[in-house]
Amino acid sequence: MTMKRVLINAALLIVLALTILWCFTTGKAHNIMLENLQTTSEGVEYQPFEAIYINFGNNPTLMLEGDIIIEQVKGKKLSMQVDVVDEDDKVLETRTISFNINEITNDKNELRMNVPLFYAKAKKDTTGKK
Amino acid sequence: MKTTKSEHLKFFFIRNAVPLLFFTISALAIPLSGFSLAYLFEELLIRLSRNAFLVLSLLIPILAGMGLNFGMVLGAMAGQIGFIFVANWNIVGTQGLLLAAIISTPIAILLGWMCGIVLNKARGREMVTAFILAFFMNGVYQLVVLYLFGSVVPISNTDLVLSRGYGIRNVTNLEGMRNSLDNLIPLTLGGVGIPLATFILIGLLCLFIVWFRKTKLGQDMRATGEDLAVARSAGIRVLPTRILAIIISTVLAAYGQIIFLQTVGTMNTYNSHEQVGVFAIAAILVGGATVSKASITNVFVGIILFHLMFIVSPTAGKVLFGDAQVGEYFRVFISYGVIALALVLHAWRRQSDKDRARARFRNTSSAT
Repeated sequence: MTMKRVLINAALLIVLALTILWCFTTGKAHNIMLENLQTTSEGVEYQPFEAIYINFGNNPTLMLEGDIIIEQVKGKKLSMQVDVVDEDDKVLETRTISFNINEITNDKNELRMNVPLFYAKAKKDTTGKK
Repeated sequence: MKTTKSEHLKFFFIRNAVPLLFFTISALAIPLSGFSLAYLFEELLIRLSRNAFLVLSLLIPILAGMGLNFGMVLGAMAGQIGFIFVANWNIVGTQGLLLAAIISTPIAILLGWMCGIVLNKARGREMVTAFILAFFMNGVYQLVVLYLFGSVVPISNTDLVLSRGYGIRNVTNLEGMRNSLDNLIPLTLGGVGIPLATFILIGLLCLFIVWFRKTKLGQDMRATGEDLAVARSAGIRVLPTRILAIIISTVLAAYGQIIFLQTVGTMNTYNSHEQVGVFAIAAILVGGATVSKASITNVFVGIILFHLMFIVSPTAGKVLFGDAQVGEYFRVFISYGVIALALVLHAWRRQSDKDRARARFRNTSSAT
């Protein structure tokens, strides 16, 4: 086998390994527990929303005060749009929460996210539409 | 010896008996079924995208003179094993499909190589050997999936494993991968969703087959298919060439099964692969292919005619006999019947070609 052939095979193997790695990191599905509950962080209290729509890019899901839901998401870097709505389903405010899956992994290896807490940290989305 | 016009017509009907028969039956059944043309078009489009890759995988062994590759079931098994691993690791979307294809490739190569070696030992009886080999490998597949997965091969996803702790459940959920290839490039024309990405892949495979036939290996396969002894005396390594043809077909069948199952969205772990060979072979035969000659056109015509029959026959059966089940029986009967008919026609045609050549030879030798 010539040196050129060895190099080509090695390059192909590297491409294959990178493809597998990419599939694992971006294609892995995670079940995230989302909660719309009151929480306290660093001495600040965050109140639950009366009604919000959360959207990971497919279908929006309605969450009412006190709801805990499980959403399946794909990949490590995620972006979630949160629409705060009134009783007539009119959007009052929209924010996009971008986060890494590691940020919401707790000590028990569960993926748990308190939406009001993350919402407060996210910037207001001026382009977000319902 | 000159052939008359009526003889030409006779040979045309003999050569195209199967597609003509299917066309006639479908033409009669469509009005009876009451389906609109738009509905039939949409259904055919889905079935074409679902099955074309599998049926195209049959072309290369035919080129190499190995007949219809009933061993493509082995490739389908490899594809399914890829899916089991991907479902276990919870990889979804196109990444899941890609990973399933990567995992299935070495398995398909290994199975194809084994199949090729066996078929080389059974030269001249490749089809029946591959058919029985598929049954044998089905047993091995069941042993592996039912006993070794979860015990020897680690499977961490409890949704996949049987309650006893090892073995995969009857149904593997592929919901996370459902239509992920079909919807990769979203396109809707006249309210009909077109699985553009799947058709692009099918188009690329067609181009690959056209290109492959022109390569040195493709020419070697053609020579091997025409006459083994002549090809050998021309310096072609016929046996490895035949093994390569089967390996390529098996790998393509694995990818074809992955495309097929992503459209369906669920996998019947122990049965999904069983009918793949029969239906793909029936489809290509319906398209006018023979055991020794097949083209890309045969593939597409075959899928359209065969699946048109699949769509309309239950409803037509219900209208005619008051029972949709009759239509179901009819289409199963047709699937197996068409293979038998094509094989009989092939044997008969080969015999009549021989007789005509002999008669022509007698006439020329008596004239000189």
